[in-house]
Amino acid sequence: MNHKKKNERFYLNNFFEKMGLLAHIDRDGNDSDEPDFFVNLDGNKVGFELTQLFKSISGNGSADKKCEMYHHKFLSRLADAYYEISYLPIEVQLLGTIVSNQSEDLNNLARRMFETAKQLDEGKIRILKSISVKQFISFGFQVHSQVIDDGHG
Amino acid sequence: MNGHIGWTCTINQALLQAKIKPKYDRLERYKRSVDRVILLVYSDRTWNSGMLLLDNPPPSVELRGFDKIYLYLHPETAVEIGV
Repeated sequence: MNHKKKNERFYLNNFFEKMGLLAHIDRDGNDSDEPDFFVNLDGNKVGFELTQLFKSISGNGSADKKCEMYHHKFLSRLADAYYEISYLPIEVQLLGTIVSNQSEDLNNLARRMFETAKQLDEGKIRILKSISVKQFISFGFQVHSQVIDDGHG
Repeated sequence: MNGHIGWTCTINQALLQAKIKPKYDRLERYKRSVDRVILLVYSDRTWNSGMLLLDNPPPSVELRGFDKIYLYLHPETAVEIGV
Protein backbone atom coordinates (compact mmCIF):
# COMPACT_ATOMS: atom_id res chain seq x y z
CA MET A 1 0.00 0.00 0.00
CA ASN A 2 1.41 3.39 -0.95
CA HIS A 3 2.05 6.16 1.57
CA LYS A 4 -0.85 8.32 0.37
CA LYS A 5 -3.38 5.49 0.64
CA LYS A 6 -2.10 4.57 4.07
CA ASN A 7 -2.54 8.16 5.25
CA GLU A 8 -6.00 8.42 3.73
CA ARG A 9 -7.06 5.20 5.43
CA PHE A 10 -5.90 6.65 8.75
CA TYR A 11 -7.95 9.82 8.35
CA LEU A 12 -11.00 7.99 7.01
CA ASN A 13 -11.06 5.53 9.91
CA ASN A 14 -10.63 8.39 12.38
CA PHE A 15 -13.46 10.24 10.66
CA PHE A 16 -15.74 7.19 11.05
CA GLU A 17 -14.89 7.04 14.70
CA LYS A 18 -15.42 10.78 15.20
CA MET A 19 -18.84 10.64 13.53
CA GLY A 20 -19.82 7.41 15.28
CA LEU A 21 -20.45 5.74 11.90
CA LEU A 22 -20.79 1.98 11.60
CA ALA A 23 -18.44 1.64 8.66
CA HIS A 24 -15.49 -0.34 7.42
CA ILE A 25 -13.33 -0.13 4.33
CA ASP A 26 -14.00 -3.02 1.94
CA ARG A 27 -11.25 -2.24 -0.54
CA ASP A 28 -9.17 0.51 -2.11
CA GLY A 29 -10.33 2.03 -5.36
CA ASN A 30 -8.03 2.13 -8.34
CA ASP A 31 -6.40 5.48 -9.00
CA SER A 32 -8.00 6.14 -12.37
CA ASP A 33 -11.79 5.86 -12.44
CA GLU A 34 -12.88 4.73 -8.97
CA PRO A 35 -13.30 6.63 -5.70
CA ASP A 36 -10.46 6.25 -3.19
CA PHE A 37 -12.25 3.61 -1.10
CA PHE A 38 -15.23 1.31 -1.23
CA VAL A 39 -16.86 1.31 2.18
CA ASN A 40 -19.56 -0.72 3.83
CA LEU A 41 -21.64 1.94 5.57
CA ASP A 42 -24.52 0.59 7.64
CA GLY A 43 -24.70 -2.39 5.29
CA ASN A 44 -24.63 -0.28 2.10
CA LYS A 45 -21.82 -0.05 -0.43
CA VAL A 46 -20.62 3.55 -0.68
CA GLY A 47 -17.65 5.14 -2.42
CA PHE A 48 -15.51 7.56 -0.45
CA GLU A 49 -13.38 10.14 -2.20
CA LEU A 50 -10.88 12.03 -0.05
CA THR A 51 -9.13 15.31 -0.59
CA GLN A 52 -6.78 17.08 1.77
CA LEU A 53 -7.08 20.77 2.51
CA PHE A 54 -4.04 22.92 3.24
CA LYS A 55 -3.87 26.47 4.44
CA SER A 56 -1.70 27.60 1.55
CA ILE A 57 -1.85 26.18 -1.94
CA SER A 58 0.25 27.39 -4.82
CA GLY A 59 0.30 26.08 -8.37
CA ASN A 60 2.69 23.36 -7.24
CA GLY A 61 0.73 22.32 -4.14
CA SER A 62 1.30 23.27 -0.52
CA ALA A 63 4.83 24.42 0.25
CA ASP A 64 4.22 23.76 3.95
CA LYS A 65 3.21 20.19 3.21
CA LYS A 66 6.27 19.56 1.06
CA CYS A 67 8.49 20.82 3.85
CA GLU A 68 6.71 18.62 6.40
CA MET A 69 7.06 15.57 4.16
CA TYR A 70 10.77 16.26 3.78
CA HIS A 71 11.18 16.53 7.55
CA HIS A 72 9.11 13.40 8.10
CA LYS A 73 11.31 11.43 5.71
CA PHE A 74 14.45 12.83 7.29
CA LEU A 75 13.33 11.75 10.78
CA SER A 76 12.35 8.30 9.50
CA ARG A 77 15.79 7.82 7.96
CA LEU A 78 17.43 9.13 11.12
CA ALA A 79 15.38 6.71 13.23
CA ASP A 80 16.46 3.82 10.98
CA ALA A 81 20.11 4.84 11.33
CA TYR A 82 19.78 5.27 15.10
CA TYR A 83 18.05 1.96 15.82
CA GLU A 84 20.57 0.12 13.66
CA ILE A 85 23.12 0.83 16.39
CA SER A 86 21.13 1.61 19.53
CA TYR A 87 19.02 -0.34 21.99
CA LEU A 88 17.84 2.80 23.85
CA PRO A 89 14.45 4.23 22.83
CA ILE A 90 14.42 7.99 22.39
CA GLU A 91 11.94 10.57 21.21
CA VAL A 92 13.22 13.14 18.73
CA GLN A 93 11.69 16.46 17.77
CA LEU A 94 12.90 18.44 14.83
CA LEU A 95 12.82 22.21 15.34
CA GLY A 96 13.40 24.61 12.48
CA THR A 97 14.10 23.77 8.87
CA ILE A 98 16.61 21.36 7.43
CA VAL A 99 18.88 22.73 4.75
CA SER A 100 19.54 19.54 2.84
CA ASN A 101 23.02 20.35 1.55
CA GLN A 102 24.17 21.41 5.01
CA SER A 103 22.95 18.34 6.89
CA GLU A 104 25.40 16.21 8.80
CA ASP A 105 25.74 12.63 7.68
CA LEU A 106 22.85 10.70 9.24
CA ASN A 107 25.05 7.87 10.49
CA ASN A 108 27.34 10.34 12.30
CA LEU A 109 24.37 12.05 13.85
CA ALA A 110 22.86 8.72 14.93
CA ARG A 111 26.19 7.73 16.50
CA ARG A 112 26.38 11.00 18.47
CA MET A 113 22.80 10.57 19.60
CA PHE A 114 23.51 7.04 20.75
CA GLU A 115 26.59 8.17 22.71
CA THR A 116 24.53 10.82 24.48
CA ALA A 117 21.64 8.44 25.10
CA LYS A 118 24.09 5.97 26.68
CA GLN A 119 25.50 8.69 28.91
CA LEU A 120 22.00 9.64 29.99
CA ASP A 121 21.12 6.00 30.57
CA GLU A 122 24.23 5.39 32.66
CA GLY A 123 23.67 8.58 34.64
CA LYS A 124 26.92 10.05 33.43
CA ILE A 125 25.43 13.36 32.43
CA ARG A 126 23.08 15.52 34.40
CA ILE A 127 19.68 16.42 33.09
CA LEU A 128 18.47 19.95 33.67
CA LYS A 129 15.25 20.25 35.67
CA SER A 130 12.80 17.42 35.02
CA ILE A 131 13.12 17.42 31.25
CA SER A 132 15.63 14.96 29.86
CA VAL A 133 16.69 16.92 26.86
CA LYS A 134 20.06 16.88 25.19
CA GLN A 135 20.69 19.20 22.34
CA PHE A 136 22.68 18.21 19.28
CA ILE A 137 23.90 21.07 17.16
CA SER A 138 24.90 20.31 13.63
CA PHE A 139 25.38 22.17 10.35
CA GLY A 140 22.25 24.26 10.14
CA PHE A 141 19.87 22.18 12.23
CA GLN A 142 19.29 21.16 15.78
CA VAL A 143 17.85 17.95 17.13
CA HIS A 144 16.43 17.74 20.62
CA SER A 145 16.18 14.20 21.90
CA GLN A 146 14.34 13.05 24.95
CA VAL A 147 14.86 9.68 26.62
CA ILE A 148 11.51 8.02 27.15
CA ASP A 149 10.84 6.81 30.67
CA ASP A 150 10.25 3.07 30.33
CA GLY A 151 8.74 2.84 33.82
CA HIS A 152 11.66 0.93 35.32
CA GLY A 153 13.54 3.82 36.77
CA MET B 1 10.67 25.30 26.06
CA ASN B 2 8.63 22.53 24.53
CA GLY B 3 6.08 24.55 22.59
CA HIS B 4 4.84 25.10 19.05
CA ILE B 5 3.44 28.09 17.24
CA GLY B 6 2.19 28.52 13.70
CA TRP B 7 -0.04 30.65 11.50
CA THR B 8 -3.65 29.70 11.02
CA CYS B 9 -6.25 30.69 8.46
CA THR B 10 -10.01 30.38 8.33
CA ILE B 11 -11.69 27.98 5.96
CA ASN B 12 -13.86 29.93 3.54
CA GLN B 13 -16.05 28.91 0.66
CA ALA B 14 -13.51 29.94 -1.99
CA LEU B 15 -10.83 27.69 -0.46
CA LEU B 16 -13.27 24.77 -0.33
CA GLN B 17 -14.62 25.32 -3.83
CA ALA B 18 -11.12 25.43 -5.29
CA LYS B 19 -10.31 22.12 -3.61
CA ILE B 20 -13.56 20.41 -4.49
CA LYS B 21 -13.95 21.50 -8.12
CA PRO B 22 -11.73 18.74 -9.60
CA LYS B 23 -13.76 16.18 -7.65
CA TYR B 24 -17.02 17.39 -9.19
CA ASP B 25 -15.43 16.87 -12.59
CA ARG B 26 -14.53 13.24 -11.80
CA LEU B 27 -17.77 12.24 -10.07
CA GLU B 28 -19.39 10.84 -13.18
CA ARG B 29 -16.46 8.45 -13.61
CA TYR B 30 -16.66 7.31 -9.97
CA LYS B 31 -20.37 6.59 -10.32
CA ARG B 32 -19.72 3.92 -12.93
CA SER B 33 -18.51 1.66 -10.10
CA VAL B 34 -20.79 2.70 -7.22
CA ASP B 35 -24.13 4.52 -6.90
CA ARG B 36 -23.38 6.60 -3.84
CA VAL B 37 -20.20 8.61 -3.47
CA ILE B 38 -19.32 10.65 -0.39
CA LEU B 39 -16.64 13.31 -0.48
CA LEU B 40 -14.48 13.79 2.59
CA VAL B 41 -12.45 17.00 2.70
CA TYR B 42 -9.95 16.67 5.51
CA SER B 43 -7.18 18.60 7.12
CA ASP B 44 -4.75 17.58 9.84
CA ARG B 45 -4.61 20.29 12.49
CA THR B 46 -1.69 18.60 14.21
CA TRP B 47 0.53 19.73 11.29
CA ASN B 48 1.42 23.31 10.48
CA SER B 49 0.08 22.94 6.93
CA GLY B 50 -3.33 21.97 8.33
CA MET B 51 -3.78 24.68 10.95
CA LEU B 52 -7.18 25.77 9.69
CA LEU B 53 -10.02 27.34 11.62
CA LEU B 54 -13.71 26.76 11.04
CA ASP B 55 -16.32 29.53 11.26
CA ASN B 56 -19.60 28.99 13.02
CA PRO B 57 -21.68 28.25 11.01
CA PRO B 58 -19.22 26.53 8.68
CA PRO B 59 -19.25 27.41 4.96
CA SER B 60 -21.38 25.18 2.76
CA VAL B 61 -20.74 23.78 -0.69
CA GLU B 62 -23.02 22.37 -3.37
CA LEU B 63 -23.41 18.59 -3.50
CA ARG B 64 -23.62 18.46 -7.32
CA GLY B 65 -24.20 14.72 -7.37
CA PHE B 66 -22.24 13.69 -4.27
CA ASP B 67 -24.34 11.86 -1.71
CA LYS B 68 -22.81 13.89 1.11
CA ILE B 69 -19.82 16.15 1.59
CA TYR B 70 -18.07 16.26 4.96
CA LEU B 71 -15.30 18.39 6.34
CA TYR B 72 -13.03 16.72 8.89
CA LEU B 73 -10.46 18.71 10.83
CA HIS B 74 -8.43 15.94 12.40
CA PRO B 75 -8.69 15.16 15.24
CA GLU B 76 -11.35 17.46 16.68
CA THR B 77 -14.14 18.38 14.30
CA ALA B 78 -16.25 16.72 11.64
CA VAL B 79 -19.22 18.49 10.01
CA GLU B 80 -21.44 17.97 7.00
CA ILE B 81 -21.02 20.88 4.59
CA GLY B 82 -22.77 19.67 1.42
CA VAL B 83 -26.15 21.24 0.59
